[in-house]
Amino acid sequence: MATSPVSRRDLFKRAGAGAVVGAAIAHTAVAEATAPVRKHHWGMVIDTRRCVGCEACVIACKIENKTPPGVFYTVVTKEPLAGSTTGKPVFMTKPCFHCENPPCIPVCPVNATYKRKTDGIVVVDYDRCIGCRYCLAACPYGARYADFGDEYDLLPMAGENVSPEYKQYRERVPGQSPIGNARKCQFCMHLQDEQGTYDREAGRWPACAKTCPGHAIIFGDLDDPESEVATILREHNAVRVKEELGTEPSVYYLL
Amino acid sequence: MEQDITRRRFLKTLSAVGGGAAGATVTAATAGVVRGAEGPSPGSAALERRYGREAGEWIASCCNACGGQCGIFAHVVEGKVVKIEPNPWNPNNYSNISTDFFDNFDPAIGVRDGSSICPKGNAAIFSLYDPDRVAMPRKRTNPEKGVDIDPGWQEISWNQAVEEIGAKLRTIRDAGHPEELLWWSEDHSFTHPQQDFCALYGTPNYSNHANLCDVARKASFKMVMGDERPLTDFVQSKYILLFGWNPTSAIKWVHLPRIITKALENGARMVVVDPNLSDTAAKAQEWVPIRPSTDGALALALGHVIVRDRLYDEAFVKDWAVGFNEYRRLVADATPKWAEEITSVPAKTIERIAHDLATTKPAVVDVWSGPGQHSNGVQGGRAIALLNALVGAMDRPGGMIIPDKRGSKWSQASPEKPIEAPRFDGLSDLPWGHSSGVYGRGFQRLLDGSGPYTPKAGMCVFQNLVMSGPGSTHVADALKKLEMFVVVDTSESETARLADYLIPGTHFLERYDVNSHWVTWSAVGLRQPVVGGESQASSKYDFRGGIFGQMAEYEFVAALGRELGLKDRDGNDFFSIGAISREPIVSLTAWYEEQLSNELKTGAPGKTLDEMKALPGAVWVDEKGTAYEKYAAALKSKLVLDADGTVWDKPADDASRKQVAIVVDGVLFEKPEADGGVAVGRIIADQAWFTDGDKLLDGPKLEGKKPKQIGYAIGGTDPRRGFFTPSGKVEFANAKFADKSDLTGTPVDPVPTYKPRDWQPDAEYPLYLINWKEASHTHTRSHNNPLLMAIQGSNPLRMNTATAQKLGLADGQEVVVESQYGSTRAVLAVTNAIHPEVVGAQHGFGHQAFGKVARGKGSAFGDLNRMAFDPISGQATHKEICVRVRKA
Amino acid sequence: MTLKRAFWVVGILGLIPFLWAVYVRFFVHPDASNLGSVVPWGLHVAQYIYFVGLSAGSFLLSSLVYVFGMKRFEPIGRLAVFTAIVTLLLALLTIGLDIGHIDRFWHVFVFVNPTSPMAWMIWLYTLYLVLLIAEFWFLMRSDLVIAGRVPGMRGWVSRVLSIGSRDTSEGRITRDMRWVRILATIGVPLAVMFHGGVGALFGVLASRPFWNSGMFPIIFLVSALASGGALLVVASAIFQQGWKAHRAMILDLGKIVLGLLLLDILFQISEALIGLYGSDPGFVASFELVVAGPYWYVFWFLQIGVGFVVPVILLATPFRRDPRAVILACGAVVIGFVGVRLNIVIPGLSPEEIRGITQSVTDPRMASSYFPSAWEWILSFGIGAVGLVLFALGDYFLPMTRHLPPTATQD
Ligand SMILES: Nc1nc2c(c(=O)[nH]1)N[C@H]1C(S)=C(S)[C@@H](COP(=O)(O)OP(=O)(O)OC[C@H]3O[C@@H](n4cnc5c(=O)[nH]c(N)nc54)[C@H](O)[C@@H]3O)O[C@H]1N2
Ligand SMILES: Nc1nc2c(c(=O)[nH]1)N[C@H]1C(S)=C(S)[C@@H](COP(=O)(O)OP(=O)(O)OC[C@H]3O[C@@H](n4cnc5c(=O)[nH]c(N)nc54)[C@H](O)[C@@H]3O)O[C@H]1N2
Ligand code: SF4
Ligand code: SF4
Ligand code: SF4
Ligand code: SF4
Ligand code: SF4
Ligand SMILES: [Mo]
Repeated sequence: MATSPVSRRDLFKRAGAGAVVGAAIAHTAVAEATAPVRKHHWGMVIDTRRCVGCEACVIACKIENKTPPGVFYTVVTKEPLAGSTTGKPVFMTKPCFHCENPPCIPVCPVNATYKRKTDGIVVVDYDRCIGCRYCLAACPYGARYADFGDEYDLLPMAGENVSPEYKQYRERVPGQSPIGNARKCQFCMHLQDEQGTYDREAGRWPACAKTCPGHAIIFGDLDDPESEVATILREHNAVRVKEELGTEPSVYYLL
Repeated sequence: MEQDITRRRFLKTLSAVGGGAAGATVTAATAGVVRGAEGPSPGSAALERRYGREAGEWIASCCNACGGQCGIFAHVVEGKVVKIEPNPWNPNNYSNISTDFFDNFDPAIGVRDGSSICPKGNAAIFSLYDPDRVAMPRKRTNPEKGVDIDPGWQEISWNQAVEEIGAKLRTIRDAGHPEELLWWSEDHSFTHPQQDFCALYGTPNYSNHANLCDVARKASFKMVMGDERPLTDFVQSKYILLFGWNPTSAIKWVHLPRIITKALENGARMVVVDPNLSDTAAKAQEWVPIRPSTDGALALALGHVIVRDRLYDEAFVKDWAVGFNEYRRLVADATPKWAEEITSVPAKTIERIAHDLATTKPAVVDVWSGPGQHSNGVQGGRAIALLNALVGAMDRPGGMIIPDKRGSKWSQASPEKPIEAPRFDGLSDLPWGHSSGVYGRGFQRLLDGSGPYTPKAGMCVFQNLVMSGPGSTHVADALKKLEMFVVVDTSESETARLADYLIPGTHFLERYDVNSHWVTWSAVGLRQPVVGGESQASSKYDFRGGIFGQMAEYEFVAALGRELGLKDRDGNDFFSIGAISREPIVSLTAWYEEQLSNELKTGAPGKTLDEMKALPGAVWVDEKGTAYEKYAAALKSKLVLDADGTVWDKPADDASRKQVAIVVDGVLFEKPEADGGVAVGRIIADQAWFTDGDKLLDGPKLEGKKPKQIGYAIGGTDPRRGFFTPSGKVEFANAKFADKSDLTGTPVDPVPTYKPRDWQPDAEYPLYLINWKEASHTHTRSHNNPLLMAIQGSNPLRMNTATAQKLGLADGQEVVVESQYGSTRAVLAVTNAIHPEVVGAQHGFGHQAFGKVARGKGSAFGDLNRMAFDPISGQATHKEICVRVRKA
Repeated sequence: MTLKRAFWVVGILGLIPFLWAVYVRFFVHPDASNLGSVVPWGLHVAQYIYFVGLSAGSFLLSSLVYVFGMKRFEPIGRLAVFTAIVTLLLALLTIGLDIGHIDRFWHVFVFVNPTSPMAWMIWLYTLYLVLLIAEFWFLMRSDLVIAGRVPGMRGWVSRVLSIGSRDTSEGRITRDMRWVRILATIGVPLAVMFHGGVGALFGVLASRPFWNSGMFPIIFLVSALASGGALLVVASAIFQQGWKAHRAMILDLGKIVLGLLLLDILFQISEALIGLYGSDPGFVASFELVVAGPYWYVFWFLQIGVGFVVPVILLATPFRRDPRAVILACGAVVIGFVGVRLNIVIPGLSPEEIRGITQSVTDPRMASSYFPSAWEWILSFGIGAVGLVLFALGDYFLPMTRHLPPTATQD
């Protein structure tokens, strides 16, 4: 069940006013029958104690993914914890949490957004997405962004803006995807190799984690007990945001 | 590919994705994505080869989006920079001490857990391709000058620019007054050719921005320990006390956030003294809000407690310090109660911090711009620096490290005849003035004509004097006095708007440089051009050309040098002759490459430019690593002591050996006492040493050569290198200081007595106004970068909640901020995170020129300041302003 | 100038900026809206739910005639179905111009996602639209055949619309009306599901406390009925001189609208009470935005004043016996409900999902405040103009009231 994009419990909950429950279950069953085996579970542990709030992650991500103005796959909040007596801000970078139980997925009218069965990354199929932005409303973490087609004003020498996302290398052309689509952090998935793994030494590593001056973004395979992320989670008490929603984020925080 | 190991690294990946072979498909890479035919299938392999990570080149270089010079890799695809990433071979990106670096270092991949660059470095592509950049030389047509007046620019060719500027400079020089050229430069980019130019042209007036920056700190530490740029060994420290320094956000070098948070993780306690809850204070366990500029008093009170309770490192003080008794007397009255009155820091807090500081080992205390950019910054900083001496944190792990300054080696060109004219800013009048000059004094003299002569021309390279100097209006008015003002800048800055000629600068991705010194051992990084070079400006000069085909700053200076036919002492055309080949070189670029190569080859790396390029990460790192307690390093005498008591200058097998002394009862005499010989040295630790008091000299006066001081006899028995202070020790006091007077005519205090700053709040202007830097921007230069403006788009004025309440002001409200010199508008941010008597904002906003993105965002407070500087070091006092705030 | 003519003029003039706005949307500046990623739905989504509400409401009221046989309301029967069609088309037009890739609307039918309330909504309104058109056709068929006998433009249009049908016999008409009844009967649950589905689309989102409640689908239905009823009164006034011709019906409709309004406010209050006492910070933040945010006047003046207080006063006091007052009251409801819709969509999205995200970057697309751009306004009014033109065209070409003698009717 853990690997299915939508748990049954969740499904019932969300089927809402109109859903024909039987059909929905059938759909999920089919999806499960054909589900490839999960090979990795990519996730992050973000150590807010190491984060200095510099926002290098925000910029590195924008440059890596060539996102337009207004689209930030991660942002850094700088709020004091509720009830803080010192008023000291807690710096917190906030990519997509690649929820195990992501509310953004069941709402999509065209199945354009889904969770990769092999490694848990939540992706958007730009060619399928109709740009209704329902998923933006549904994500409880503000992790999704709409591409309204804004452009940066740069010298012509900067060349065309080609995003490597999903290894699709799309140029920005008015009216064409990803303009008009929902967009989000995809753990810099284009940096994976053929086997679907990342290689830190070769620089094939999420851009935000790669640049972080505080070394606060620890990325890795949560399913691999030897990984740095798994080790940290074993040894520390980590928290996830809005646990009460049952979304089960793949991104943990150390406070 | 610039170097082997990187190539290996990428080749490895290349084969891993199987993308190397033509036609290989990458479909499988996104196996999980593809759902039948309709999923987001990846683009073609051809696209990946064109735009992917393996496309193009990754060129190692150094960032210069701020002065930090961190290592980078620039990803260049089809002649365009598409990404900048950290360079894991460059220690500057990782740690400032070598063990921390080498322990995590693998020669094949650099540091194992990856290195970093800050937001400004990441966003630098957007400044490279900023549409508001200056592409061609411009000449003013509107004779009326002002920051808000259209200069009526006319674009001119490079030939015309060099010829016209050259002609004016020739006139000035031919009239016999080359000193009438003033030169302001950034302080570590291509400074050598500029200094060479000034020397050969004949002006003593080369200055650089360090006196806008941290010369107060430099003076403080130089007075205390003889070194002007010690670095804090955060990562090994257990107690970190910072005064007015914001290193996790004003990221001077990108290793700072890592080593500080790492220290905290290792259990260090950090206390930050700052009127504002800076981002560094936010990381600290304790924030100590203080009344601005009173840090010296707090430091003395901390000293008081430590001395009173005998918590100081007695061994260190005994062996390695002088003037402790004078200091003890000074702090005897500096009680915590006394300091509480001055600083507003509770006496109890002072007692506690003093105890923690002195009892937690190792501990370190540092200070930067906060206290430094005030008129009492030098002595205040000195009191702070001395706390390190009290706790024995001098050049020891976890303390203040004296860096190994060996880097590239530059020897300045010697002019045909020595320069006799005095410096226009009268630098030598300052007791602890810095070679960078005194901008403020120069501007003052320009403005009121009180200088020793009347400068006619000015050259400003890579600085925005109007916004970066204190008292913007005054600076602008001063610059207007010049007959010819030339600005070399990438943007049409506020300063550039006053120029007669605006010369396009290069972005750091378009040029060369060599960077060293920001770690504690010798490491040299190479900056190299990664874009440009295809287009050549139609010009009589041959050069590589930036993305607009423009000259690099060093090429422009060299071109001017050629135009003027500047010759060195040997009569050579300095700017045409290769530094190694000694042959004339046509290309300006090739000429500079040879200069650099020479500096590198003769310097610590001992490598040519091409050899440097081939190093992993294009960085040379000394394997010897960080040395500690260098002052305590034992010295080996060069003198040879015979069994019979004769002292020789060379070993026995050297035929040219000379007898230099004889030993009588452990004392060295030049010749027998009976022949009138005087005592010149002693036997220390079984070696013969020439001495002058405690100072060890490298030899006797042989053949008229003056002996060089090489160390100290510590405790009379150990010959040691010592500190580079006059006494060779840390100086708690130095009576000789009083022999020099500061610019107000006051003798320099031998001890760091607390003196209030000059400009104090009063009934009319009751609030302190301060300013600071944050991670999002560099000074005034990054505000046309839409990415950086997205993470920080303005600089609201912070005010304490209680103060706002008293003034009837609310969060988000527009206010007028006024001082007796000027006023500006700002948006208020009401917070508890600032001292109630203080308002403050991030520096650098409020552009009137620069570019579409920057203009009109946030507030500039420069107009509210006076053109002022500290009278001991010449440090510009950016943070010393008093204001009132009212509703707009 | 008659009301009808004014209609034509305003409508056609309104089409010009509309076409310009559409052109801008597709060819010049796809980023012309003031939406962002914090408030990704704005004026047009509000307008969309406004229109679908009107559609569902007027359709359900038409069922009083065609399902429940309430002859009193017969005069507005066709108008009601027509209104339901036009407002639904306007809703589709609005949302079509709002989403990023209208060219891919067919994906909803091919890439089926049964867990998406939005998908269900789209499937249901597609069915609903087909059904509405069929029902309307059966309603008008015989009149179209008759009208088609007249030469000229009108006749030609009628001939086309009658799709070759010739038969005007009693029997055929009776069969038509049986079809109408069947379709209308199916339509009732469909409209309820469809519009309830719109409510559910919002209601299911746990991420949005302001919407996340079981009341939402119900409130949507009640408010749809209220606004739809009000719109019918206004339409009848304009197209049928209702205050003269159908005085009694208008007064009755006024009572219905009053009842629905009161029911609606009751639900709204209970919704607010639950939310506020539950003191979910997100709900409270949205609620505060509604009553005291930057657009407080939308709530107090438009939604409460125009949309509730004015009509309740007019409908509950002796004014209620004057059809002109009822029409005025219903006009106020129709306008006031614009505020209701705006105040559902925007304040529900504005509160940060994670504290501090809107301050974390300086970008208008990340602001928690939203005010429509000039372009959005123009497009909105332009869509309104399209509506006017459609109404006017319908009035001109279609037999909105029966041509045949009443004997032809079945009951
Ligand atoms: N992102 C970024 N990083 C930078 C730079 C940049 O422009 N941008 N510039 C680089 C350069 S050149 C330099 S010199 C360094 C400087 O780095 P810092 O020395 O950290 O410079 P500031 O931020 O100007 O000032 C430090 C702190 O001093 C506080 N302060 C002001 N007045 C007082 C006072 O009287 N007493 C005390 N105790 N504190 C006070 C301010 O609130 C501020 O938090 O930063 C470097 N790093
Ligand atoms: N109020 C206040 N004033 C301050 C400070 C403060 O904290 N508060 N800090 C002070 C400190 S610490 C310092 S170090 C100084 C720094 O002051 P400056 O050295 O003047 O630095 P910037 O203000 O960034 O101006 C740099 C100028 O160089 C241009 N430029 C940028 N890159 C290049 C390039 O590659 N080539 C060329 N040719 N030009 C380039 C930019 O467009 C800009 O006009 O400011 C000081 N001024
Ligand atoms: S780059 Fe790292 S330290 Fe900087 S804000 Fe992001 S997570 Fe924090
Ligand atoms: S954080 Fe939001 S966008 Fe990301 S998976 Fe979870 S619900 Fe979806
Ligand atoms: S915006 Fe795209 S991904 Fe999001 S719900 Fe709509 S169609 Fe699905
Ligand atoms: S993992 Fe990649 S896409 Fe996600 S926030 Fe980090 S850099 Fe952006
Ligand atoms: S601190 Fe940042 S801007 Fe400065 S040199 Fe390093 S990476 Fe570049
Ligand atoms: Mo500086």
